[in-house]
Amino acid sequence: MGILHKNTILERMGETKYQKKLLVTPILDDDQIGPASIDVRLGSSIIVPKRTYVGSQDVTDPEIISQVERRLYEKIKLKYRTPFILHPSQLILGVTFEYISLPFDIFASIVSRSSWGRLGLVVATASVVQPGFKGALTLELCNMSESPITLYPGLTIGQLVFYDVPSKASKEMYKGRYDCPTEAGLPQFFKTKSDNEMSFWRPRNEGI
Amino acid sequence: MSNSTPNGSAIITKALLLLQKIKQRILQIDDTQFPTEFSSTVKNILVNVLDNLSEAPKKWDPSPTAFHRQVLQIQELVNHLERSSNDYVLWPVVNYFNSIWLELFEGGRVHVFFSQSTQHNYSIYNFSDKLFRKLNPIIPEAEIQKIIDSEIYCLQLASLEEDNIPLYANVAHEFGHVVYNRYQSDIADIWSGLNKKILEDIKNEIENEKNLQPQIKARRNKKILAILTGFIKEITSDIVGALLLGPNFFLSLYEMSWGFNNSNWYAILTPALQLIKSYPSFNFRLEGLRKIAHLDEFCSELNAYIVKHDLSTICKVPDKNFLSLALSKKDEIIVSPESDSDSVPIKKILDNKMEDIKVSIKNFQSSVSDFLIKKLSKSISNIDPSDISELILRLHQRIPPNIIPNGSVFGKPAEFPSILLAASIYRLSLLSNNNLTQQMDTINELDRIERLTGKAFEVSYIQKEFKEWKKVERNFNGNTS
Repeated sequence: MGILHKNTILERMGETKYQKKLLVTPILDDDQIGPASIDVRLGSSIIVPKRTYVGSQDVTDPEIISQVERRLYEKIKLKYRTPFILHPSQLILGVTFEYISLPFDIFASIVSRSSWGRLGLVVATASVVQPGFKGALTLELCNMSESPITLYPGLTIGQLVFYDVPSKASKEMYKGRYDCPTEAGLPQFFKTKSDNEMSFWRPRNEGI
Repeated sequence: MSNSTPNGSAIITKALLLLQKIKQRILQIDDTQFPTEFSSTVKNILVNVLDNLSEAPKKWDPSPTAFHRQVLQIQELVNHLERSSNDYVLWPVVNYFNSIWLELFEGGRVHVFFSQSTQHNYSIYNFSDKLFRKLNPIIPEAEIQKIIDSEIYCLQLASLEEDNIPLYANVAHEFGHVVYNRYQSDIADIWSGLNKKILEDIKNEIENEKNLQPQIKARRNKKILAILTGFIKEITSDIVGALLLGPNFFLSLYEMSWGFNNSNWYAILTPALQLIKSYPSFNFRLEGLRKIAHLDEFCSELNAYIVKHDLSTICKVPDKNFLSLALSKKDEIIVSPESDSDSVPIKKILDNKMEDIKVSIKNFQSSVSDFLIKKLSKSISNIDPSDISELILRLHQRIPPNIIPNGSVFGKPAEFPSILLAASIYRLSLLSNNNLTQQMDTINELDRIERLTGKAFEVSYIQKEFKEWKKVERNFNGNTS
């Protein structure tokens, strides 16, 4: 499994058959495509967690998780050319401006740009993008510095690195939790079968 | 009535307190969340109005009850301002329609702001006019003219349709009402050249009514004239919709007609003639638009591209059979309210004359369409069927229909009417292919199309702006290097 370099990225983006096409759209500027990555920008949809109402985010309890979704988050649609201030230790969920479509033989990972990293902005903690994924990527943006950081929708905020997947790998379509998302998404616990096992790890009335 | 009596003074004080609260409410509205600058203009006007109203008891000694009543009524306009932020309206859609408006009324001091209605209906009203009428009992006209120094309309977007993007094409019809007002005398001349016989026939029919007092005859005649004028207003607005957005408006109106009896014409009577509303049947409107929007030719060309992209099995282009309208059903007019003593006789006359009315209006449609094409030539949309097929292909691949591939990594940003049309055609096709066992899949697919279309509007809008900026920047750097 190797990292795709620029020529291969451009070749796969130029594919005419959509099943084989690597898509990152729209690309606004040539400079977004680097030697082995594509820069992505911050989109306008953000989710801001609120500190009140919910005691603790216990992901093994579906009842608490549904409360978290209802009471903990505020969805905001930013206008372009409008600043958003991310305060120290604040976490928000953003989304990429770009929509990504990966063919079954390409895997991607999203990483912070080092310039933002040096200011203390961590851009992505859940960085893996599975083959076959289609959608805008939700970004977990956290300010680890001591000073507020001003963000604007449209700024290049991260970069996508692509890897080829061996051809013997499964050609199944991506069957994850998120169906062609176009906005920042809330965590989706208890949406797939594998999450049912969480009840195993919860406290029971009888001790083990 | 002076405000010096104890009762009057109490009412004025209460009204002033309410004014203060309303002003606080307005000042808390976040300007940065307005999709266009004209919402900010409205905000400033309303703040100015409230400041002037606060001075009104000292300056102009208005009736306390009138003062209190008008202050209460101002709240309705503040509600419309509050619902004009990004929380309620899609800013890329609003910005697009705003740019059409600026083109239509270029150079004029006629503006529009967009607000979400609580009704399931689109409408447009003259905000400045409405505000003027609320202030007129309290503040002298000359003072009001200083506060409201431009003409501002409020376009209200249907509340349940905020996610039903294809129906936004109805905004163009609402613009048509303002175009009608602008060219009212020219359009009235066109209509009067075509309606002489039908008006004569109707007048004779009313005159021949035995034992009917002359004033009742005159009143019915005037009401019928108002109803017919209402029909041509709607037809004119439809034509503007079709010219601005092409087949989009036809498909949008087609979808709006679902759930209604498409052969019914409607007239809603009121004592004030200018408030009478009337609507031709959906069938009649759609059949006329089909020709003006050149729908059949467009669909035929589009179908060729759909076949080329091998999409025929998943996307059915709306041809004559798909959009078959129940034209064989006899049109009739529904006149309401039943409590109006003129409603039954007016219905009888108009039902008798329905075929002649339709012929007159069809002739009007053709003439006014030629007139409007000349007047609105800069704003007429020109959609390329090959672009639509590319965008439908993208939707089918679960990708936003935001660009037309052109061999470069950028692609050509798709235009708003093209994005809207691709989404409309694809979703109508899904709806028509749907059966009960696949309903959930269809619902999910429709939801996906809405999201992808919304994303396409946003990113293609930004891409076009960025491209323009890049051009200017390159020219600037080229000239200074």
